[in-house]
Amino acid sequence: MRGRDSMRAPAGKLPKRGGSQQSIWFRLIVGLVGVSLLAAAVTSFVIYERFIATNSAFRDRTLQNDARVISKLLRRAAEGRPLQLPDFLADGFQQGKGKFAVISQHGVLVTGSTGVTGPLAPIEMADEREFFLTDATRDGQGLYGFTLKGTYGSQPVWIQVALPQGNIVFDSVLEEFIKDIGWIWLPFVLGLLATNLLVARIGLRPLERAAEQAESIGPEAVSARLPEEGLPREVHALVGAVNRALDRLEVAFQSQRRFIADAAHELRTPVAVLRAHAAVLPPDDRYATWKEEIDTIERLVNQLLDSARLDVVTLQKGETVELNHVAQTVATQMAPLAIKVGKSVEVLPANDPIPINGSFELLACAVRNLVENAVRYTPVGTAASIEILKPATLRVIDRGPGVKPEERELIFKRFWQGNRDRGGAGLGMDIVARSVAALGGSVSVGDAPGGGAMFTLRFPT
Amino acid sequence: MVNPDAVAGARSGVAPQGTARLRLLLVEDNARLSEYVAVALRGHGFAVDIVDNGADAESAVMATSFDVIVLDLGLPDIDGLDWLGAMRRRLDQTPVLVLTARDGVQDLVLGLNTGADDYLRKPFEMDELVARIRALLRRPGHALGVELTQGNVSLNTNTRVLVVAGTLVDLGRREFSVLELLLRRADRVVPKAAIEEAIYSYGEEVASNAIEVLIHRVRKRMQDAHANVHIHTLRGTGYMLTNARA
Repeated sequence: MRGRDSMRAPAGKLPKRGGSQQSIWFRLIVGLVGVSLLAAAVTSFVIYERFIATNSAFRDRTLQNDARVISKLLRRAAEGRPLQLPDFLADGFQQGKGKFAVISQHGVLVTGSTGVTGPLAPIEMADEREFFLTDATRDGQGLYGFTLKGTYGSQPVWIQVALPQGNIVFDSVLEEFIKDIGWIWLPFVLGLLATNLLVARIGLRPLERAAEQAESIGPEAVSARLPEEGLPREVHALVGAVNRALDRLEVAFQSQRRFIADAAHELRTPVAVLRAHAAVLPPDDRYATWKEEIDTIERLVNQLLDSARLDVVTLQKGETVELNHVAQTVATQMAPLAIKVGKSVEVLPANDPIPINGSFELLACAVRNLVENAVRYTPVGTAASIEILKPATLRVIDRGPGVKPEERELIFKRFWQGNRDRGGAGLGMDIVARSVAALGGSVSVGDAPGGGAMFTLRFPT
Repeated sequence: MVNPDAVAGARSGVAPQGTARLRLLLVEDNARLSEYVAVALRGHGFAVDIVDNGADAESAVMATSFDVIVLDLGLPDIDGLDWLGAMRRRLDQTPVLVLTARDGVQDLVLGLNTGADDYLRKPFEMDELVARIRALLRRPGHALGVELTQGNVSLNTNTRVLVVAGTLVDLGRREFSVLELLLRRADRVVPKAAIEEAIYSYGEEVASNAIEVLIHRVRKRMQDAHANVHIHTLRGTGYMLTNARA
């Protein structure tokens, strides 16, 4: 975790699911529905075309068959048997779905179905057989028919059988068949869609797991990697690349930590030597000045190390720290320094323990810097106060001049120059702000009720 | 403020009458630091032996019995804590104060099984080092009878005699215990809870203002006897005894 911005806004930078970015789901649904509809339409069209063609051939054969049946009946009638239409023909003709006529060689109607008074269509005497079409007339639709030459006794006759154009019994059967096929498509399309989405969902589940794992990777778990098992090959490449990037970051993170640890040792040792040396020098007027300068150096070294450490801070999950305890520990540490300069430190604890999530070191670091600041500004004879309040609030109050409203934001900036005259390097308040942010809390400064500055730390409960 | 007089040991009340000087082993690989620390500690009346590595430290503790050891963790040949662990496994109970410039090892050092009695981070105030060493020597159970001295107040933990400004002062049992505790940790804050624990047995009913009353009485007696020490009240935290301000 580098930089304060990332610490102050630990969440909320991830793109929201859905939103402007189309989900893979949405694309799948659109694609699959489109393809399914297209397939259904094309198939239906092809089947329909095939039916039309089949239907025409079927109708032709039906007409020819009917004509032959009538021709056969005529031959038998000539031999003296009665002319009796078979049921399937009689029914069809009686329902008006078809007509027939038997025409003599003189063009006269010999017999016919109900309502037929003459040839259904002009007859070419030369042809043995022929299909015909008639235009629509006042009393009926146009006809599609077949003329077959037959004999009645020794006389040639022409048998005409016709069906109305379009609306015929076979077409409606076929239409229903088409509709049935169409309805069969609907569950099929839905099934296809469901199967695809299910497959996609199961296939993407490892990706969701990887995303959850990625969310949990923070400075406290730099060694964690995304799971690579069970991922589709395409996603596996991405996850593998992310894991390798994490490897490199972990190396950098750990080397930064080692550097800080080494720097701490290397910087403190000469200060320790300097301080020890000063302590054994013969008493001298310059001693007090020296001591102050060594104090300044030591403080700067500690603050620089604290500041650097905040860049690689790690919070253990489930770790809690109690506000009253931190306040009392810091007061115990800081009080001797305050009393040396004629000031004091007091704690106004809450009645109940107030635990917050976070590490003792991190919170103590923030409170220590605030108390150090308060002790510096509070007048001699007064105390810096640490007050603990519900819910999860810690205040540090001094009786000094307070912080001007226009400086209340600036004060938390690193190396801010405002308090340089007081010997600070401008790191303390930055450390406070970053420590508190790392704990998920916030810091603000205002006026104390009795004058002076009041720094308020608020933590999530 | 460091009192430069401390160098001469003027404030020292460590050495009990009639015994040899306390012998201290300083294990520190930074030659300049060990030199200055040794000078300061000798000024406080200690006999100081210096070694700069683990092997020499081992030879030293085998050859001589020390009253206290000041141990730097960053030794060239062995980790200070490992050496300390080996020493403790030999049942050597010499008090050890650990010095280190390392980060965040306080928990480690003062945690389980390391055997360290106290811990001080570099850089340190020489006065603080001396006070911590004294505190180790005064640990209950430690054989030495100790005279606790601060300003013109002197308290003997064995004979339970309190002398203020050259005069014997009578003090109740609990008041004496409070003063002893504050003197042991002079210039450091003694949490109120620590005083309660030291004065009252476990489960004993303690009135909410009992400690305040005790401290008030001790203060009154000190004032009446013209003691030049001051007991500061740190509201919400505890008490701290210091030399009265000039």
